[in-house]
Amino acid sequence: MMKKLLIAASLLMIPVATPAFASDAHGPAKDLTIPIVAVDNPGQYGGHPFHGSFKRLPPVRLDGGETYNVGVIKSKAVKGEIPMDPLNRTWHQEDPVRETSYNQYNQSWEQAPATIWNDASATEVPMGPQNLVMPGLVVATVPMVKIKSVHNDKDIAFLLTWYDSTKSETETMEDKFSDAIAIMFPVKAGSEPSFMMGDDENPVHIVYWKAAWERDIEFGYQDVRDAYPNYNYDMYPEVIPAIGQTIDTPIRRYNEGQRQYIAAFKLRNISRVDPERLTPVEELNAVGFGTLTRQATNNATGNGVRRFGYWSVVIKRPLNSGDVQDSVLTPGSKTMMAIAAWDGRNRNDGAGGNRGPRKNYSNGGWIPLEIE
Amino acid sequence: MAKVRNWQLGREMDYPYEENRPGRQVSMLFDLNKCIACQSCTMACKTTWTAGKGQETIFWNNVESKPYGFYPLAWDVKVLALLGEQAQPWSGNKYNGTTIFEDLGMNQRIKGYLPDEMDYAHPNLGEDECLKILDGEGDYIKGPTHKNWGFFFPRICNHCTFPGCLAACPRKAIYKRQEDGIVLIDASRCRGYRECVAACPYKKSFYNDTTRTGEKCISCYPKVEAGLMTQCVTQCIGKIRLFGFKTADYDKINSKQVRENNPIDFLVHVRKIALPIYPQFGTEPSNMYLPPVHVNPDFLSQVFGPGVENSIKQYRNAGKDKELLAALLLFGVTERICDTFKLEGNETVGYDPQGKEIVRVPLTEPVYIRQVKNLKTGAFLTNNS
Repeated sequence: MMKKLLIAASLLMIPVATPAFASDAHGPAKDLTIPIVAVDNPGQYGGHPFHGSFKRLPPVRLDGGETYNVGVIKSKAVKGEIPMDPLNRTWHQEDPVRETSYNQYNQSWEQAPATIWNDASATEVPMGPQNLVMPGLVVATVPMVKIKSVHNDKDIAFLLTWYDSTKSETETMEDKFSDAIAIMFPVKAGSEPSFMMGDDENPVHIVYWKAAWERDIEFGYQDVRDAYPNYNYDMYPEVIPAIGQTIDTPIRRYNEGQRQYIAAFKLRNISRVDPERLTPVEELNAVGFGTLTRQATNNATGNGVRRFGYWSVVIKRPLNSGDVQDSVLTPGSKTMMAIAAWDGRNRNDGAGGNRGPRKNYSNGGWIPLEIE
Repeated sequence: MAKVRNWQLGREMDYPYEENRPGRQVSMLFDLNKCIACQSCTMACKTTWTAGKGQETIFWNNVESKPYGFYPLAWDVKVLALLGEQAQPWSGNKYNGTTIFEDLGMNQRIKGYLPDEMDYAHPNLGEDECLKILDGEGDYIKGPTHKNWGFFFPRICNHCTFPGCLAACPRKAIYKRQEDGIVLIDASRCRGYRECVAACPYKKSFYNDTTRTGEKCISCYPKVEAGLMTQCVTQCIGKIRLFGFKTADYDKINSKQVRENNPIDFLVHVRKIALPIYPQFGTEPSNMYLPPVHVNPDFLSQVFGPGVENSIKQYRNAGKDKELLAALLLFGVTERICDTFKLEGNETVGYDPQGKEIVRVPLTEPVYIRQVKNLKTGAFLTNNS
């Protein structure tokens, strides 16, 4: 009976510890424990931390996408609301034990229910290292981003998928940086801003997604206690006069006086410290390097999930938000967009991970965007 | 890269921005012979500015034990290694090596490194290991022992003329104030890239885990604007520090047209007794140190540059040098910033910018000889009878 159970467990690839009483007269029982392979382990695919193309992927079906465009991003017209889920979540439970093409119900990925993204054509965007302004990267750390787009009469959404062997979603430690991706449009229709974040005459509109914000939304604003669960600190002066508060009182419950001690919070630098964040994206404008500024009103939303070492991020924004700082996208028109991506864990650049100008950008700068 | 003039290196050097010196420059002098590492300055700063959430491991002011104490771990030896494994060469007062702004790699804006988060967790780890009091088991530092010497090294942001943090910030969120040369981070514009943390060779720009932004010493600017010295200076029980303004104009410094009656200019530019900290980094730090007289001169030369011998010679002679003594005795005697000072007989007098006297200190304390015994009551007044 015990043997049968263990065999069943091994078929299901559930890690089991061999109980001591399982040994029989023929010697100790075999160790049937299945080694757990981390999804984040680089070199899963042919020994390469990165891959060159999604066309040569192992049989992991993320979002369909068998039709590829070359050199152009095409936005497909769809009816009805665009869901924010890049994947069908109940189907694609991430399973660190088995990286197989079977999900938890032993069904093939081929049987996965279709999402709105299945029929949208994909574009593989090769990425290059930003090395025009220092500091930069020497080699690309995110060599390829796959992008799909759909729109209805109100919103346009982009699905960005890229491989990143390391999941970096905290910024709450001195030397940790977050994975991130951003898409950029010219603010003025028909203008051709510099692809280096615009220029004086031609501002650009940027929508920026960050993995750390995804975590903030899921688990609450990540603070010192989340980064260092066992640390102790006698008392913060800002919580001494407040009855009922402790060192673990979340900063979102601080009153204006207490926020004086959290300078960037008091100054409402909500790009960095936003304990009540609702969306993992923010909208920004720029007129060249070093001028990136968050918009007062943010209309875009986003949602990112991680599967099998891939980030899949949906960024949705109104076609025409009515905000003068936003770009207006019109169905039936042609415009252009650009992509930037950051691998927060990659230390090839010598001074920590990718952030700021240490980024990858779509090779050649702007990519044509055709809105159906 | 622009060419800028750095008087501490005796030559021009590369810097990402044009030379733009403030009207006057805040400066702090430290007499290292007097520091006892009581950390009063550290706690004065900590309780005033960095006691909040996210600032647990941030010390804008720290005191480390040299040669083996560091905060963050191994900061100076790591930056020196970036400049070259060999000692940085000086010929006279001219520096012949490279600074953090020169001889850059392909993707670099500035030579620097981002400390590991655990580098901040153990301030001064290894501080006493040169003394070999323990038998070596569990030592952090493994290496040759040497004769017992060491000194305590108080450090704050140097509010450099050519700040590494300012040059590194991709967002230009760091600025140097024209009126007093204080270097500040705009906390509402910072996006937490930590380029300043990586670039500052003194590792005096920090990252706040809660706000996810950079933070650094603000030179207590609300006090400085009111004519007062900073918290770390006024709380120093050893009276090792002096705070004030010094001449920032390069041409005046170079042609020795500095203000001789200003205590900072006098000690830095006239007597050259106060020396910059690691001038070879190239940022032209504004804080100056009177090197400790009993420490290995090779080590001192590496830290404070070529002026060490001259400085120590003058310091040892200070008892006979009334003018020098007059300036040295202004350390720690007043909370107000002395604009000028004057030697009057046996007293040194400090004046505010309006020329009003703010402090008067005798060069030699009067000696009172107490009676051994109260003759009326018969009580002993001393304990050496």
